[in-house]
Amino acid sequence: MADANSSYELNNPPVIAETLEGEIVAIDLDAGNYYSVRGIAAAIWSALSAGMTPEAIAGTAANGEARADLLPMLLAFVDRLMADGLMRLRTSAPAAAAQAMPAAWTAGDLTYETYTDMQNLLGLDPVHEADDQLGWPAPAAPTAS
Amino acid sequence: MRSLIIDGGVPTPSADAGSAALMDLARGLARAGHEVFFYPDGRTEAAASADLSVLRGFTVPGRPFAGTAGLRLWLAENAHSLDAVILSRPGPAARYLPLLEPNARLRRIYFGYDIHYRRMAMGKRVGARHTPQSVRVMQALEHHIWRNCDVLAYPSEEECADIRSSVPGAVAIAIPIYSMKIGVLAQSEPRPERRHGLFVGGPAHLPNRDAVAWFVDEILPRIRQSLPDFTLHVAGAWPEASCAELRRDGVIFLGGLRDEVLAEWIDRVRMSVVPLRFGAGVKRKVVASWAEGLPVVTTPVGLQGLTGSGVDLALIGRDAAELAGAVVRMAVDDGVWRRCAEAGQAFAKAHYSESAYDAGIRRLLSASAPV
Repeated sequence: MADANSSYELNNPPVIAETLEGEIVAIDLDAGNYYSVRGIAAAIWSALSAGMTPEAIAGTAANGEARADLLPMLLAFVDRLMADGLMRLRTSAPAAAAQAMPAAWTAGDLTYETYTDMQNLLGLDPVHEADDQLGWPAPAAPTAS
Repeated sequence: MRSLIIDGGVPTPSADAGSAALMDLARGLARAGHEVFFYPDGRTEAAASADLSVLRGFTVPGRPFAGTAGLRLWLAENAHSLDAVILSRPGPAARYLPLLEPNARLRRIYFGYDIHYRRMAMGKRVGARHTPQSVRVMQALEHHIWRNCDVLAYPSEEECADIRSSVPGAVAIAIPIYSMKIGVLAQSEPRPERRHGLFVGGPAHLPNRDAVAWFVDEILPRIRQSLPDFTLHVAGAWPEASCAELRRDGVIFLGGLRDEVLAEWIDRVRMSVVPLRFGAGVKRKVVASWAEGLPVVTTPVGLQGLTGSGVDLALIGRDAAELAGAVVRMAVDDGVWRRCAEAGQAFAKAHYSESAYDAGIRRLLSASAPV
């Protein structure tokens, strides 16, 4: 279970993440899954990656006002990130100072998309294992035994 | 000096330009005095049954074909004695990077043939079946690699500038990625009975597949209005199903050819035809044609990374009609043929001869030297 006062970090390796035009693209190089994180969820991802605790993130968003509803939603989000192997408890010192947070969020904001059809792109030997009709990244069809 | 090269599988230099470039690199490092280790990834039965004889002269460390697990222990014991690890192909490079802890001596070099996501994005525009997600994933992979390697080696300054713009602070240098033997001009005089063309490339690389299909459907009919007997010879390991689909009057599939057999075909044709509609990086088939003194008819994509000399190196067509016209002109105009043959070969000699290539290796090693 996620803890409000713990710090988290990207589960690297095997997960890598890059920000492309505001979208966080995270890739699990072992499982071959790809995740797209946008909007408020991307801002919170960045804050978590930088070492902000869920308590600090929710507190920053609430601008000092009591917003009891924010933290449980955030902890549920962190639970999902950990269950998907995207984040883990932090093992190194936090990277950066506090970041600007959105004013508030709903549970619907704290979501991301999962794609499971990228294994070919990541694991396939692009020259020798590609399908000779479709080309890379389609895998070669298994030969009949 | 010791270098380790990690590739996606056992190189097949006679079948794909990427493998040929990597073998050129391995030999170039050896000429520069490096002991070269070569580790093939590839975890399938097909990969494991590949012919390792291409790696003769180099040492295969660890347990090949066992992925990162096969190299982990060897690296733990030997990384301290390595000067460079060269990674290529984005998927394998991203998987092996975590094994390479930065240290004072070891330099992590990424050897990029082209910017894959740019090529995939271009391909989408002409109907290649890349999803937006796959282009995005490739972009994330390549940006991650650029951010986490010490030096990035790419074939053109255009690509290096693109990288530096995308990942500020990245150390990207342009080096020739092919080492060519420069022959005498393929034909001392163009012979009218040889008014045919040659395309070299296999279908696993989507731009090649698109190029031949486009040529067959839209360009060849136009050429044959002026040159009824014109024939394009396609060298590469095309499966029979693809050949059957694309075979027409005027197209002959030669199959995969050994280098010496390909050289015979170069002597039998008038020109190299490279009708690429998308792609990235420097095209080996163009440089190889020039090295043999065989002039080239191509598109702007075919000349990516090869312009700027101030001399017309090839005849260019931007669409099917222009390309067909360029082929006909190269076929009938001996003056154009000779100018392109000589200019192309001079360019290949200046930039892709073994001595030019070795100078590029020295620049790469200098850029990679520990600070």
